[in-house]
Amino acid sequence: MLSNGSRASRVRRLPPAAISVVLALALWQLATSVGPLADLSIPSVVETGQALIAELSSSEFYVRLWETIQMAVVGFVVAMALAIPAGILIGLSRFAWRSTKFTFDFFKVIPPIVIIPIVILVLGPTMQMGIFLVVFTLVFAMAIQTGLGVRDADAVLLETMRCYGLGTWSQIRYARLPSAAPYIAVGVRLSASAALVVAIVAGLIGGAPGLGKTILLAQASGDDPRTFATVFVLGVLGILVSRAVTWLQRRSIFWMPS
Amino acid sequence: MVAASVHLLDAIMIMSWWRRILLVLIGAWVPTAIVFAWWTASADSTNPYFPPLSLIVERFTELWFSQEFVTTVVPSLRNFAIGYALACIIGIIFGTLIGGSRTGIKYAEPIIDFVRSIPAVATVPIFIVIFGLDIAMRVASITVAASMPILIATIQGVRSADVVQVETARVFHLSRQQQLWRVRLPGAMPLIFSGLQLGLQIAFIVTIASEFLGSGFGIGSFTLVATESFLILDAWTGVILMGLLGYLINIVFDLVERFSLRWYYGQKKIV
Amino acid sequence: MSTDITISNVSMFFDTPNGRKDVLDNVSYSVTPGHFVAIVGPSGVGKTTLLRILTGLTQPTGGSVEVRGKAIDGPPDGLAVVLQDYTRSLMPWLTVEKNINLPLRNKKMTKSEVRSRVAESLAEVGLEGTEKSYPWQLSGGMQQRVAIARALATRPDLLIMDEPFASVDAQTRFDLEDLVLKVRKDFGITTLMVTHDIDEAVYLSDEVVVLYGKPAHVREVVTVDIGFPRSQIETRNDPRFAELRTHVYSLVRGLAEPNEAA
Repeated sequence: MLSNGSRASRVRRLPPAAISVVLALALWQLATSVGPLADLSIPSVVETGQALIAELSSSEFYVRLWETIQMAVVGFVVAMALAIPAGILIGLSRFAWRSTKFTFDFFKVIPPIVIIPIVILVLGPTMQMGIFLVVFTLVFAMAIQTGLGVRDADAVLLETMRCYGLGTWSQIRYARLPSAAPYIAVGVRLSASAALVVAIVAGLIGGAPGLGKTILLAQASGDDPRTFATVFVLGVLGILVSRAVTWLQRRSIFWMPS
Repeated sequence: MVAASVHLLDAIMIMSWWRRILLVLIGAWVPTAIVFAWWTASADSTNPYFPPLSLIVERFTELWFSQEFVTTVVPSLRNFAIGYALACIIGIIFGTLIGGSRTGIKYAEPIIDFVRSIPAVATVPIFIVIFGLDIAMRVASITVAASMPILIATIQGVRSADVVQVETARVFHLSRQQQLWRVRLPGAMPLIFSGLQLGLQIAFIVTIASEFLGSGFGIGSFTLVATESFLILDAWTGVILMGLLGYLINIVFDLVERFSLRWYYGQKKIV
Repeated sequence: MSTDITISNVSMFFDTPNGRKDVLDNVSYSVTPGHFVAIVGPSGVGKTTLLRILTGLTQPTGGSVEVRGKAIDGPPDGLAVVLQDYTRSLMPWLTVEKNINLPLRNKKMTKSEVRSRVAESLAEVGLEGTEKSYPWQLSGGMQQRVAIARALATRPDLLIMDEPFASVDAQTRFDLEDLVLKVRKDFGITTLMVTHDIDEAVYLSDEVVVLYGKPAHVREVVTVDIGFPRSQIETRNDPRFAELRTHVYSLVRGLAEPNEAA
């Protein structure tokens, strides 16, 4: 019943969305074929569409896609495996938290792109490089996020537990971890999207394998329609990943209030 | 009685000063240890990729405390500043207009949703195709990429304005435009600032990326060329400088935010 | 500086997922210009809905509200409001002064006129010298005074207040009630106030309108025949005050009038 209702409203919402998409495409086509951009070598909708079809029907595309996904997933898993336990540990000790706060903040804030030149030197344009970049990008922010969650445990709840003689372990089990869970969930969601982005950037800037490299090569060889088509694919991929992660989270963390 | 309470206040002030110093010390020992470990471990390094830190520091002062800073880093910072400023203006103005109109959002949503889903760095090749390797390409890619989070945050903020505030404005006969720009927009500022911060980080990343991809001038380009020419020391100084700049820009932003949103933080502290 | 307001057969229902919910049923009442009227009733009876209709923020599903003989379809001219939630109705990013002159923007007033109007209004509520403060730097009672000053600065002829003193402590509440009596003496603005505090309703009003039932109708309009000036100590000790509050209380509680009990 509910899902019917939401589907109905989605259908009703479709027209304006469809209109603006068609309008945008038409504008692009006009501008590049007869309009102000016609003199430049900017690919039109039709050219981009053709390149897109060629791209999607080549097996190479799927190899590249798979490489990107592998780097993103491996990097993501390693980062989570490092950051969540580390975040819990430093969140539990006030000294550890204050000691690492500045350092972690520093590395969290530094954009990962700046270290690419050194990473290229040391690891070369390899998958390991992509994975390393993903881990480096995610790990500090995720550890801080987890630590914040652990520290956010309700003080009154903790004091109540202490009054009832519950030990440190119970406090961790029944107050600290449940308080960290929503923080971790948010961090995981943001990390998943970021992992994909970094895996692409690793290819685009650092020459690591995957779709990023596809763009790099297409652009370097002047194959503009292919450049446009691949970037278009990345946009769609980005939407799919963020929708998928949101959906998964809604399924698995049913107890979390939105 | 009064004297006693003054003394107590002094004591608390002194304590909080001690506390503050203690906190800085606790926060500083880990970075100090890291730098120290790096320094000693790399002192006799023969690994070409990890030269002694002492040499990196020497090269760093040589390079970046000279004319080189003006010719290499200043153009990057200028592009960054122009692109980001444009992104802020575009994001906030269009975000307010779109968020303030009920139909606007329906039409804009799919386009915005799509553009923001493209990794910011991946839009750079598109702008290279359109503008070539010009400065226009760099500024345009920075502006477009950085304006997305600002636009989205502004739309959300303006739309989720406090009902009581908006109705109060309505009762006092403020026009729809006044409600939008004088009540909804300022009320949305805390949310907009989170978009501005994300936009700032993206602007910095795209600044560097546009230089990596469109070779030429700038700190990013300098560092990548150094890497490709195996000028390892130069590459390290470039990376360290970019990291420090990225950090500093964030610090400056935090200060600006604290100042601009003092009403918000002041209110939060009391509640 | 006062106006008349007439409520004719106002009905209101909402469409909810569980079907139609009637809130107001044929509410009619006419306010005498310059009078202070309190609207009371059990919680959830629809007091705030009625108030929103009177401010023109909500359109009734039946009937009409007339101000100066004209049916309203939006906030009427010369209306000012004071809401319960002062932390939300004052703009936290504006200083007290700018909050008060926000509604004055569209009135053709010079800068110095605005400044003296703000100062006058703040003096009326006893908050001289707080112009440059932010609302959240003031106590709850003071913030509500700012909201009253903002209302007065527009020189309204109709003032509507929604549980204005519900979120302040008891002592402050008495002070604010006396402030409202003073404002009434000084300006004579037609005022409608929703409150759940029956003592407050009787203490401040010329008439108390009791809403009751689901959907709600006007159960009785109680005339408060106690003279002015009133004071917290003497008025509340007046036997007539006790009678009236007991009567209103039993109406609100549904412990009805003898002739309606059957």
